[in-house]
Amino acid sequence: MSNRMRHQTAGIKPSRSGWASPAALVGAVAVGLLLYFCVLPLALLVKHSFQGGDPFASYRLVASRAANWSALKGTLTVASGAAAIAFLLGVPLGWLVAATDLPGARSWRSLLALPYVVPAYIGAVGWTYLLSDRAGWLNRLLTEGLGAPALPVSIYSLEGIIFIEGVFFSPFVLMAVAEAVERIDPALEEAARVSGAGPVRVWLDVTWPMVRRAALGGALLAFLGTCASYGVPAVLGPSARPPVSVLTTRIKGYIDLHTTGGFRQATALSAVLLLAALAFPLAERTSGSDSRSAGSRPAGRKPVALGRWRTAALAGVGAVFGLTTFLPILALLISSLMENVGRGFSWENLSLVHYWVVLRRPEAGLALRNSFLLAASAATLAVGVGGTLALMQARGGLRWGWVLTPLAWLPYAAPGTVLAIGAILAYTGAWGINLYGTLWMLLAAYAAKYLALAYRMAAAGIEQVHPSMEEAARISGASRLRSILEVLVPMVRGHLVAAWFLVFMPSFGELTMSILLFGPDTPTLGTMLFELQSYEDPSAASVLAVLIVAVILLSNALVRRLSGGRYGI
Amino acid sequence: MSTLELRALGRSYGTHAVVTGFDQKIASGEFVSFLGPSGCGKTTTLRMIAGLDEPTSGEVEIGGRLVSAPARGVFVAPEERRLGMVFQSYALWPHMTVGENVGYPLKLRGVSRQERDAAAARMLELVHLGGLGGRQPHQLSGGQQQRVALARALVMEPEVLLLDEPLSNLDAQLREELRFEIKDLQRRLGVTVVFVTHDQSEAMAMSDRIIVMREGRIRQVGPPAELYDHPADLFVAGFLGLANVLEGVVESSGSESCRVRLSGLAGQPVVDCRGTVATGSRADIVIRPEHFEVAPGETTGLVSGKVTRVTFLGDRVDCRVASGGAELRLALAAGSAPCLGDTLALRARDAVAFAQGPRNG
Ligand SMILES: Nc1ncnc2c1ncn2[C@@H]1O[C@H](COP(=O)(O)OP(=O)(O)OP(=O)(O)O)[C@@H](O)[C@H]1O
Ligand SMILES: [Mg+2]
Repeated sequence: MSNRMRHQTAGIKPSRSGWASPAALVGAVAVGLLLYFCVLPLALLVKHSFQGGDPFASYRLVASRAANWSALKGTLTVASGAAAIAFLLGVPLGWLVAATDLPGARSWRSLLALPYVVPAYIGAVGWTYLLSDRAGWLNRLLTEGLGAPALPVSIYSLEGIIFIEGVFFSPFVLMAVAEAVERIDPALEEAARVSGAGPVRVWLDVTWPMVRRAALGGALLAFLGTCASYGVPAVLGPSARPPVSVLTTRIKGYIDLHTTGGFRQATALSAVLLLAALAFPLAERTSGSDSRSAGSRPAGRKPVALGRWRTAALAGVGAVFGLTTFLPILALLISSLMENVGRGFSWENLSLVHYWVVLRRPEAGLALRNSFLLAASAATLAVGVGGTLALMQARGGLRWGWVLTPLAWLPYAAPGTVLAIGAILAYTGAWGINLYGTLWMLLAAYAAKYLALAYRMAAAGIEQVHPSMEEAARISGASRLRSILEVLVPMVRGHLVAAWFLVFMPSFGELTMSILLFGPDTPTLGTMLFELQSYEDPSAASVLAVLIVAVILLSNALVRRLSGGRYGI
Repeated sequence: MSTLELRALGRSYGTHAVVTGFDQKIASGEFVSFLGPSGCGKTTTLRMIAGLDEPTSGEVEIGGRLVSAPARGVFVAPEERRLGMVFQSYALWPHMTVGENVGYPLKLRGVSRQERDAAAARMLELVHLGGLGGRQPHQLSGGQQQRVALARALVMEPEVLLLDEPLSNLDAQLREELRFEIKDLQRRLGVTVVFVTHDQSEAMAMSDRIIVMREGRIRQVGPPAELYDHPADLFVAGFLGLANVLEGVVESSGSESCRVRLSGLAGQPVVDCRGTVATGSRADIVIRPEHFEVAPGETTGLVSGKVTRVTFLGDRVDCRVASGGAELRLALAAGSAPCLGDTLALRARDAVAFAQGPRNG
């Protein structure tokens, strides 16, 4: 049986005439593209960091600055704290939504995973309305409304950053746990019950040991994601007392110096940050997210009855969702609708004036257009290239097909900041190509960064189609290309559409890379929001944030609709 | 219609030879089965005929046209071989209706929509699925899907039809029914059929000739009855039909037969066997269950044994008889059924002897 499977998945062999065969040609082109767009930027970055008479000069310089050490410490502190919060939130929530009779478990699962698709910096902006020192609405409610003694909790703080990052990365743990729980054979737990273990005992002795690995993997992803994140510390860090600095913001600071020396030090710091990518494959594997896109959710588990805890659990889940996700988004919506934020809540103060003002600015129109164009092009490109790679690997019969996967994953594992600096090195003058300040620059970065998502989704789709489907078409008289276009592609259409949106969504509100790569003519929604937020007009920033969230949620709903709820959050 | 010629066909993966020296000529309109245990290279050979796999040596010729010859750099793509093929998994395309599935090969050849629909309807009629063209494949039962796959394979009137275990996913009754239908269709259309199976009763029921394979090589070729009665070796004898395989010493040997004393059995069993094995050497003896007879009264030259199990099968009785250390399997006429525990004296009406060489495989 296994023989047969192995044999048939080998699929249609390309002509063994070697390098001249079309498959080998397409393969060579694909590897060339991967090398240029996914590997070259990072390779140049590492090389650049070692340049000069003394190869370690940049590193020595970087190490001599106390500020860099405190940035490193900041990154590690924030990331550990965020991973802990993600873990503490994700484990119970993941178990509740996947294993119990919590009312509306399905919907809660989607709602609690929302931060997965909404950029974290948008959450940070939302929180600034709620918990900025004296003016934050929640703080005012606590002090003025409830007469609490002055205890302004400030979101502009190390704790605030940790909290937001933790919340926004908690879906990694939640989904890993939920899926691990679903993979458990219910008979194992039932056997423990029959053997005399109470429900808590069963959880501790059977369930948790089987979920632990995935939960820790999810927490590691949260840790790495936080190390790489730029938006939240950039929005909140500078105004904290004492200011919070992390590696990504520090790198941006060096770039902003616009000096060669500054750039050299930025590359050295980036190379250090790139080390995080090494742990990424481990995190992906243990959390089980590398097999997530398969999309099959085994049914038939009998939910654990929560009994009298049901209401309490519901209240808890609702509170967590409300406090972590709903509230900041609501705050953004309200602030975008308040004519004058200082005047407080009243019907007269509600208006759409900011929407008008913002959308009438030519720059906003440009940013909106750019973001749409970039996200759609990146998604199309990533699906095209990722789909081709997946196809070659599954059906090409290439002996070296396995090298494609790590190459395609490299940019996704690398922090966005690092990838962007690599892109600057690779595409501003190297080999006569200068894309600086153009949309192409951003497109190259987006497509490379999110290629892996499209690749994985396409591969999952192709894996579900037995090669005999295309072989039957070949026998019927179809050429190889036709058998792919008329049989394989229609059969994986759902996966390809989902893959497209999986790239579109994070690209649409992208900030981390864009902030380093955009030029005067190429603002994106992310960069414009960030500048409005930090310098001029928080209300206008709220408008953009609401727009981004709306488009992302709409895309997500579309994916769920099209895939019958299999994909999307 | 079309002949099919395989010349010294071979396929290896690295140093691992999967099919070796496969030499066979299949006549136009013939129904030939590849029969053999799992992993013996049946599918690989079929896929080399189809062009879904390339041979590493040898040649394939379909209807006089050379389609695969690695030594001469010839390889005709599968879509240009004008074959019909039914896959074990059926491989019906889920994004097309049943009618579209059947009409697809015609679409590829630029046949107009109307003609296509008419031809598809005709083919579906032929496989007893008239009127189901508008359904989605998943709305059909396994047996119906199987027929759709057959209709699709036949719609462009291929000269050669390839079937890879097309019945193995069906239940026993449906299998029987479709066996008959496939055979019937083949006779009516006169198409050359290569049928892959590891089910010997399927191969015997349908084939003009069976090619028995083992470890990538042909062991014997011939009509079913011939293989059954005159197996070339112990493997073939054991693979087709039931067989009692015994051991013995040759007492005397003629030009086409020999007399063998069986060892390990109770009584004084001496049987006359077909086949020549040198006097005094050891031989493997094959006796079919239906070739045993109960011989009441006699004692010499007979196997004696005790009945340990009796299974009534309607027209006949399946008996197990313990004799010495061995267990024999007998198929007796229903009328002469012994009782459990009876002691029987048995004679073999027919037996085949094979020399015990250095055991191969
Ligand atoms: N891609 C491959 N690489 C290495 N060996 C292979 C490959 N494909 C098939 N084989 C080997 O070739 C042999 C024959 O395989 P094949 O599928 O032709 O067997 P089969 O006779 O059709 O068996 P079954 O009855 O199980 O379908 C098997 O031993 C298998 O291990
Ligand atoms: Mg097979």
